[in-house]
Amino acid sequence: MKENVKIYLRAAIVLSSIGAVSAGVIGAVNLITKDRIAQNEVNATNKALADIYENASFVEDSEFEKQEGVQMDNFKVNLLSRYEAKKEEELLGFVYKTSGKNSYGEIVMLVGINEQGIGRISFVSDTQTYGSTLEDEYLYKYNNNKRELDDVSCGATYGAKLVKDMAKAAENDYLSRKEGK
Amino acid sequence: MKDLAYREEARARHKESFLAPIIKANPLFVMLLGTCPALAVTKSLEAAIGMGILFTFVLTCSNVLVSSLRKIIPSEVTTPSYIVIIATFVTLVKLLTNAFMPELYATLGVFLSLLVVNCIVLGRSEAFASKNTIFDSFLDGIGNGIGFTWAISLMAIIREILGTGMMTFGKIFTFIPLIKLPILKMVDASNEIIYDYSISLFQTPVGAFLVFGAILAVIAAIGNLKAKKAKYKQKEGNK
Repeated sequence: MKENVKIYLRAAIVLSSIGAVSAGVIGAVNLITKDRIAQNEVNATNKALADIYENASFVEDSEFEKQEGVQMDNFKVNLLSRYEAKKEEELLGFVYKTSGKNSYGEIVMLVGINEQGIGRISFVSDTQTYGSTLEDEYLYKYNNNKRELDDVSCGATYGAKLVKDMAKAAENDYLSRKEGK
Repeated sequence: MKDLAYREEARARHKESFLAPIIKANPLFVMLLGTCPALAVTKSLEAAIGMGILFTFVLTCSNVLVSSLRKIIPSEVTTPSYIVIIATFVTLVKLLTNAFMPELYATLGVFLSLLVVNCIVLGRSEAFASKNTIFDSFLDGIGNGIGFTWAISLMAIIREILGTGMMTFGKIFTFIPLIKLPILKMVDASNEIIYDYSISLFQTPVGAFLVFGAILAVIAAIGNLKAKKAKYKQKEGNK
């Protein structure tokens, strides 16, 4: 009995020590890299914004309140922020930053919306296992052929449903604000 | 005399630890381990090289640490300890790649995190590093890393050329200028296609399986041919 306790205690101490050292090392590296990662995310968002409305200037809507867990047809999605896109004082439209998850991973994307409806869509990040299929096939076809979101088919149906839900959540918010005004 | 024999034996062991996984016991083509990232990240040569380098780093570091702690870690908690060690290195690699090479991080996506449960990394810790010296484990990590890297690079070269018709450099490794080498596809300055013999199927998961299967078939054919030759030579010798 005493021998058993000794064995378990030793195992617990060794495993806890390895865990503690690991946590310390990860914490230290996180401190070193977090600013740079945050800057990379800002750069990725700026790049995606420029992809939605070329040569436009963007102002983040400070009154926009983040909406989490908006239930759509297939998934719950988040509306993170909203930007106003202007070119020489002329309002081109709005850009919504949205995020959503399915069992294959998370997508953060920007959706351009104006009077004509949903415009270009651009990914900020995509951790889906078939991510590039979704971007190369679905988004490319949608953005370049100016089709309706429902008309585009690709080899990543589950991811495409998430993209549609995120875009439609943004459109719903845009329309409800428009009607409210 | 005994010392000399020991040194010779150690040298042979080091050589075996390093060279065997590169060709004779290649983790991907011979042991058929680590096929998940091999199929997923071989759409482009740059992604494959990036994955190979990160994989080599994680494998070598975890091998060295597991080997150095092999006498301390009690047998009851070997697997949890190895997983914590491997997960730590994978997390470090993830943070550093996200900070310094965001394009590579975005391309590898979830497959970078999945290195934690990669059977080569966990397998080498369990089967080799936990029983061998630190130096042997280091060589084993480097050898397996090189073996895995060239294997996925070969798959990536075939898939990129057949699937896109060209080889692209500088898209993921942004520190080099963007270069597109036309091989099966040529476009002019206005992006008009002059000729295009590429087969986009090879960029899909189906293409990955086809290429992997074809390479394994070639390796099996070479192995069979060698075995036949050896048998024939043996027969000739018996006569």
